[in-house]
Amino acid sequence: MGQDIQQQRIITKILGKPVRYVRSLFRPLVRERRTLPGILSWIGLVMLLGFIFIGIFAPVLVPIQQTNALAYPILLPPNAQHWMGTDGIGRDVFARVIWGARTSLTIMAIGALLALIVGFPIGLFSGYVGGWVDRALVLVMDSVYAFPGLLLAALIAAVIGKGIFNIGIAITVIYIPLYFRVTRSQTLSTREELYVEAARALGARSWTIMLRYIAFNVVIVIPVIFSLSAADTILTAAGLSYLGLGLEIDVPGDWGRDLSDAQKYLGSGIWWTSLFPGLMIILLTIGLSFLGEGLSDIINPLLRKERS
Amino acid sequence: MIELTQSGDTESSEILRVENLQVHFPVKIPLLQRIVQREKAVVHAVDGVSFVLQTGEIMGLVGESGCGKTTVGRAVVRLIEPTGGKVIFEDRNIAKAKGGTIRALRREMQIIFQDPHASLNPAMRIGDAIGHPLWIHRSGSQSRASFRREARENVLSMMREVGLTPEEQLYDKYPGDLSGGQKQRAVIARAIILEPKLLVVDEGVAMLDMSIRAKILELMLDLKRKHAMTYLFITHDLATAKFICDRIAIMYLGRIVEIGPSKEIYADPKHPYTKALLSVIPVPDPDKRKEKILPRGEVPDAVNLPLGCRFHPRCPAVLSSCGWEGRDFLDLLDEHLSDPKRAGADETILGPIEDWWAKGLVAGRKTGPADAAKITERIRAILAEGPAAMVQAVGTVGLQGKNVIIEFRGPDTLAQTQVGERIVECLLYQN
Repeated sequence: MGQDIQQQRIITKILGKPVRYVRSLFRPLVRERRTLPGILSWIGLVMLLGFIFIGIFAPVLVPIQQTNALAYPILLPPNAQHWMGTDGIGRDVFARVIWGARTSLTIMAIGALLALIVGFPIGLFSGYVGGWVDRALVLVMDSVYAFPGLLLAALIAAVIGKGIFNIGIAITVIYIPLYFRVTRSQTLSTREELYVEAARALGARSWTIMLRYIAFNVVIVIPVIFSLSAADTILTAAGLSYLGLGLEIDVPGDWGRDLSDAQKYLGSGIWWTSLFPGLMIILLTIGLSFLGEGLSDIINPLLRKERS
Repeated sequence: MIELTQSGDTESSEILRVENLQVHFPVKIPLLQRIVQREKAVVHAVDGVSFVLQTGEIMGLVGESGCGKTTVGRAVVRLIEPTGGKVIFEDRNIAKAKGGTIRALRREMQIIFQDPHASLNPAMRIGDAIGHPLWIHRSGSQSRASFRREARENVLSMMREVGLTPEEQLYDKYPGDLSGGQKQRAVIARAIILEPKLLVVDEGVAMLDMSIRAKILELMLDLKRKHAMTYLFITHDLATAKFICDRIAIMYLGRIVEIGPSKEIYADPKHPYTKALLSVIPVPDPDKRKEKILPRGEVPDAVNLPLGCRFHPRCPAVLSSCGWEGRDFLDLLDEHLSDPKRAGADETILGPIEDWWAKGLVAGRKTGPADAAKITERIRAILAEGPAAMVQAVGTVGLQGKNVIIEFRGPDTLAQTQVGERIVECLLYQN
């Protein structure tokens, strides 16, 4: 009995923070499920989870990786064997579309995660410290932000080369300013809270205040930026691939590249090679946008309420 | 300057001595204006406050909102840096102390804020919040694990002491799960877990319900006895101050106007402002209606302070030597002109209020020699409507160069006067 309690305490100690954080995100989602933002978020969440499912289980759903040319006859229209037909070099479109989800989600995860890892701490620091450090950082971030995103990503991709991880990095650079800005502005308002002054009155150092009193209260805005920027990430990644700056040719599924390859057949009435990858891009982007817009509508009023 | 320590009481020692404390906040003005204007505009939040706290006593700092009492509290615990003056805590002047010294001082002095909800980090468990001061002031020798055990025990016993029970369950709760009273108990526990010698309580019970308020006040009194603390109790609520304070200081516009044992002050207030404040305490007896002495007008702004005694424009017992100045005449004139019954044709004779200026003791407006006599006559008539003390303070009225002016005689120097066991800053009690 005593051991059970001890064990439980250890579990809550380790998992307490993340579990509480996730719960605090879901509670408003459950409460707002009948309002428009709530419905939007739930639709978005289900769509995203669907794509994640497809991405994770792609090897089970379609065991054969479609990288080799001429595995099948070329340009077959959709039929019982090839549900979405085959493309110009004889690959199964359905298989590539499924594997493409895996590719897109990986890039999205790398890009958004790196942007978070870099942007969040810098935003926190900049907002808390203020003064000329803050101004300099804002200036740098704003100039990056002002640069057209796809162009910047293309530039970086051209310099550091192809590959999933490199594309992830190229995209990261575009979204760091976004994480930075939102984190910074949230930090600016949290910094003025009474509990921060109370912490100073307790004798806490700046680092302690920043990490233990501010960071945990700022992190609530992250899911919103994440899902808003994620939709953009997918589009940018597809755009890079479309331009031929994206992934290597041997990736088993790449929506942007497939679209790019398919465009020359469009004129001859071959629609299936471009429709399905395009549809996937649209669906995933819509799902993420729903989630992002819904969440921001739900969480922002919460933030406002908490502050007042 | 009069010696502020209480004479006769040789046993107690002083823990805090505040001397001529000043806290001025700069007024934000646009850059261009700042260049043109030259002189800096500041809010005189605290402007020459002195008092002494004896070990073990509870001193109340009472006043209207905006009188600077909170600023005094924050300056004492050095959350803000005083502009001038001394804050002597246990024989050390900490008014200009820097980062590390101040952090070390937090072990000795703590502050409790008005809003318990806002004072607690919403993302930190109650137990962690109460124990955090221990971690902040941890000296490195002990191992983390054993320190953690000890801190937890310490927190739990502190929670029992402030009545946060069942402590084991509440330890893991977040501030959002607690009631207002429980949150204030948690804030108190956090403040005293380091056993500070001085506790500044800034409106500590103002946001609580009446029923909980009394309990929390009793808890504070209990804890004070047990831990031998000294309280600086900041409040606008005179009933609370009467209940808890040994001595009280009444503040008005950044200065203490009266300070002394609370029994004496409540029984027989001396300063007109104190009288006015005390007269508005509600009495729980509908048949016993006291006469309320409400001060006239609004609290003047703390950027351009009134001359002489700050209370003189509103004072019911004002004298001619209290500090009448040009601005006061303009206020009277404005009042007169904006009342259509009294104003009559005065606006055509005296001109709109915007034409008038006031500088120091003088107020006036530009005019030709032809109108001067008429204006002078009207001015005298309007002055007659004002307080008698104001009329007596008028030095000259008449034409000077191109201006019609009203010049007041200067004020007498205001000094702190000992009356019985208290100190009052009012000309009525000065010889």
